[in-house]
Amino acid sequence: MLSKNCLRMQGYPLYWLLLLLLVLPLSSITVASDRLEQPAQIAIHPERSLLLDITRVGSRLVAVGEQGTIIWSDDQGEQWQQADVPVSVLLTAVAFADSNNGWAVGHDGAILRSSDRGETWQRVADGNVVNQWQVARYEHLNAAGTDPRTPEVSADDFAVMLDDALFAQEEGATYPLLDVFFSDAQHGFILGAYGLLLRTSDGGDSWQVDSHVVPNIDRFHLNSMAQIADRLFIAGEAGVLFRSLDQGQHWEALASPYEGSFFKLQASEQAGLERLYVMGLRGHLFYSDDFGEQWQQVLLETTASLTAATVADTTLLFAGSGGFVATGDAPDALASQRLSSRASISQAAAVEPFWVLVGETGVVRLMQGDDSHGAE
Amino acid sequence: MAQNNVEQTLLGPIKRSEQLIERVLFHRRITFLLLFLVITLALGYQAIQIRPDASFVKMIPTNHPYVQNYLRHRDDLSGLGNSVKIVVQSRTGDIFSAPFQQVLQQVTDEAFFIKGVDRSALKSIWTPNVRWTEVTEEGFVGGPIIPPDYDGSPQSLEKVRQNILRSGQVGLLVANDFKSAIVQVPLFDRDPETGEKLNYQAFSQKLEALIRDKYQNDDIQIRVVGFAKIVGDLIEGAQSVAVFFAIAIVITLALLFIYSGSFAGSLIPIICSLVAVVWQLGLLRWFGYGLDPYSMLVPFLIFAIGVSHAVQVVNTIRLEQVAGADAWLASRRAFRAIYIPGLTALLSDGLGFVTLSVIEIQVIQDLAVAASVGVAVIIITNLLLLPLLMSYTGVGQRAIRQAARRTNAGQHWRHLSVFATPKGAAVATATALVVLVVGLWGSQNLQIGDLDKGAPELRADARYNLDNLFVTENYATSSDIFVVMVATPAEQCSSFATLSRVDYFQRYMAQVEGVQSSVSLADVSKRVTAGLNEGSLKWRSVSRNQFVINASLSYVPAGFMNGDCSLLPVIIFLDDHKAQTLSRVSESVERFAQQHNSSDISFEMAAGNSGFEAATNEVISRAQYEMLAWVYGVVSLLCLLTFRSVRTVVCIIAPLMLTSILCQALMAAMGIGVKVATLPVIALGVGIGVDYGIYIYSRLNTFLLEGRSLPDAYLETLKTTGSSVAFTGLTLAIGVVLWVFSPIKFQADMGILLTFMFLWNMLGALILLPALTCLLRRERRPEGDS
Repeated sequence: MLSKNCLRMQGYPLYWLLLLLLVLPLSSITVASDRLEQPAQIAIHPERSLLLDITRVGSRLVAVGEQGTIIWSDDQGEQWQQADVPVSVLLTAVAFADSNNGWAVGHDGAILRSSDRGETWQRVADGNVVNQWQVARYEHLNAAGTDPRTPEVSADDFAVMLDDALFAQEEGATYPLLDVFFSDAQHGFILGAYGLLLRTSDGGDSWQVDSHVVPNIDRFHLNSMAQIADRLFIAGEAGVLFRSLDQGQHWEALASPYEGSFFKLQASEQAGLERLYVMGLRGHLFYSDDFGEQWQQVLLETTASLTAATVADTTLLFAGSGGFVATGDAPDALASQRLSSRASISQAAAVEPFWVLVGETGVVRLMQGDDSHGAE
Repeated sequence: MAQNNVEQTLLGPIKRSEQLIERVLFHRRITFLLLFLVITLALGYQAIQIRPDASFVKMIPTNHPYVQNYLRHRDDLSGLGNSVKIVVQSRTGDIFSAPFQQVLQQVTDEAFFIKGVDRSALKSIWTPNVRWTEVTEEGFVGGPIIPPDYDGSPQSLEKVRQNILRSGQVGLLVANDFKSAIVQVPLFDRDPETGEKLNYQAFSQKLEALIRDKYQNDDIQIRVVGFAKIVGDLIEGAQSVAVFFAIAIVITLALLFIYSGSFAGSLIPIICSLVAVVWQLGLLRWFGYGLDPYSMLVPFLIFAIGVSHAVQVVNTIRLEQVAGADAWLASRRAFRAIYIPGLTALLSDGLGFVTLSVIEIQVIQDLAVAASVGVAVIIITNLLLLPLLMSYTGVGQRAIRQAARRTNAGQHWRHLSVFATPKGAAVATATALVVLVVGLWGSQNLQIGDLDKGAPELRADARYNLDNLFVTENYATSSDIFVVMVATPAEQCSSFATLSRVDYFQRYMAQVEGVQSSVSLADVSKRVTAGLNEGSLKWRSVSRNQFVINASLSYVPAGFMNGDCSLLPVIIFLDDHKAQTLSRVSESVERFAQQHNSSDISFEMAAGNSGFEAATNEVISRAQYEMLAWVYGVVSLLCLLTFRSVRTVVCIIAPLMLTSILCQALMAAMGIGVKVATLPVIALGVGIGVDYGIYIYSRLNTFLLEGRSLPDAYLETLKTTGSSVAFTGLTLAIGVVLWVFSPIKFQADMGILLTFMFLWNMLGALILLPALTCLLRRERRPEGDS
């Protein structure tokens, strides 16, 4: 901005000449062609992009989505600013480790971090780097023949994992990352397609491949992560559910109430009751009050996939494909509606007095406690 | 003097030919009349076979790089574009009723059997190729929208409703408000079996007869949109202007009679002008031209020009008869007097029209040919045939008495002749300068291209445009489409590199003001990839894994890629087709192409109606000044050769320029843009407008040569020629003013502008010409000097 103003003061002819000099060499340079190298384009209305995840950091909302779009709002989602992002891949998830440090992940294995509450982002790794991590990790474990954390995983298993890691490396940065979760400022996880799990315990300075720690032999996609009372949960494709009681040191499989895919886990604490919701394909919504031992189904009159959930005080919101939105104070008291646009919702956040939903058509704001917004 | 040499070589033959033709013509009258009769019959036979014709390619600048790119990829893009949408709308309720669905089914079936329809790609919720799909625990399930056990019961209608919702066809085949549904009818440009070109007119008529007329009633409204329908409506609308032609003939005849008081002097000009029209049409047909909606207006012009010249001839004959000559001698003298100014005027008309050829758009060039042929024909019919016919009849005693009275009276012209006095001239010129400034200021806002919504060829309230508005309001589509063609090596159109670049390009274009949305093969791949991953939005991306891309493109809807996968169109939907929007879009694409084009991928403009319009606008904005330079250059040169005086040229041309500028100001004020239809108007207006100046000045010069003072000579000119010039302006205006009522927008625009130009040019010739003559002849010197 500064240099532009200075130039303008010199008078127009010079300004144009300088501009021309700036533009000429630029236009002959071939632009980086890979979307992992191309910075995100600045959009006029970035809040109208395909957006997949939204989170809160303090009073700020941060959302991520198509072609490297990251936007933030400090006024409950009224106005949005677009962040500088060095990649233009589809970003699938965003989370903050503390009040300043944020993480965003996406397709092609892109991992980004921000230390200024989401305004500028740096690339930490991409799929090629993740592939190297995998190969290095399973070369090591294959050589060692065993991992003391997972005595049940045999040397043969590690050989297979190494093969898979080498194959993935050959294929390139093709794996999408699907969720990022920080249980505190130091401990975080990244979930990906085909059972990929990454873990950090130093605030993201280093990441460790932990895919084999999860008993997920079919390598189903890991879609969502949540924490309730020090217990961590992962939900994924084909109804898989996993639980860790020790911050991800060990993972166990839970008996699943459903064989269809789960897209979202949501923890809630109401009147001292710690409850975990899991939801997925065709309107399937379950909750557990005993940390995943037993599940109760919530019957919803919809076949929409449920992908979004959030809690404001005592009110729950669930949303999903085709503009389906259900709100209420209890699972048996949900009122459902459909957005008139029928745009699919991917994720939601609550910020007084709104629900801020993101999805197919960007940001949609609904007034909390009002069931009639744009609905039929 | 060099000028004299030029003049001798160019004008000499005309002068010599005059004497020869005059002698032969008036001594072999019967022979010539028979000859004219034979030619008229032969060309008349040709003329009745001429057919309306509207070719899409003719209306766009085929030499423009955009259009060249399009023509190169034309076969690959055939799956795009040419289709019509038939909207079946319920006037009383929604689409979920048994009677409505029955009509929709019948309309689908009717459309299926119309000739020219690509049946395999026909789509409505009743066709099996439109399916709903859903992701379940077991994977994809799906089926046709109309359940196999459909029986019109409320239960099965409810099933239809559910299927529509999960098919994603809301906004595409079903309106957002569920009160109408679309039958999408793709067309073959050429019949795949017979190779025959699609007959737009026949197709459009079938749509009307088999669908709109048959199914539209109190409950059902039928709407049809699409290029084929526009062309059909255009041809139909253009034909309705034939009625205007008849009206123009009747009015002109009546005016001629009031003016001349002579039956023969009214009928013969009309007959000769009609003969000119017949010859013109016959010749066009003989040369292999059809009548498109633009050249359809030429017969009006030819008729009007013919009449206006005939008036000059008849007027001169009458003056000669008043002076005592008999019909034969009067006609012969009139021929002698009119031949050179008439020929000059007609040549300048014709050359003015020929200059239109600098605009590289086929319809305008065809218009130039049609109009030039017409003017050439008038030289024969109205300068030769007319005096010949008049030599038998004369104007009649009544007309002679009436004319004698008028010449003696003639007082009302005295008011006008004041402009030939220094004071009057100064006032007139000063006023003209003020008007010029206003005109220049007003014409600043002149826009290029079409400014109105919908199909610009038709009126905003035309049925087609109302239908189109309905579709854009109730469905998720815009009718302004700009197509960028992305060319790659064979089999590379669906590679990750190509699709991710196209994806990036689409996001880039989405930031350009005026772009609503865009769609391409990349969108297909993204959506299907998400679909294959249980519909999860998190997978809505072009996969870096080529196998995933290939799986996602196992079924690609028609028009998203070509056969050998070397071309994929990006279809960009725009807010409107204003010139700024189009140039903004094409500049943005140009910038992107400069940075990203390589041997692996190139972004090429442009197809789609807006793409062609962008090309047309570019050609027109470039051609507009070029054409003006040519038309004024040619006309000025002709005047210079005829009158051998730069001052005279200024006197004749300056009023025309004023009118041209005022015409542009008028266009700006009325919101008429410079476009294919209006660009020729100025050339036509100047070409024809110069006639007045030539007639008036040549007569004025005659009187000046007799040694009269300017005001005196001018008064005499007005008495003799002034009234016929005024009358000419009127007849020309009548010929074109009726176009204002044409159902075709551009014909109406042309009508308004031509009427304006004809009348203002007449005023310019009557007022400004003598004023300028007066001012430029400051010192009074004997004419012999020049």
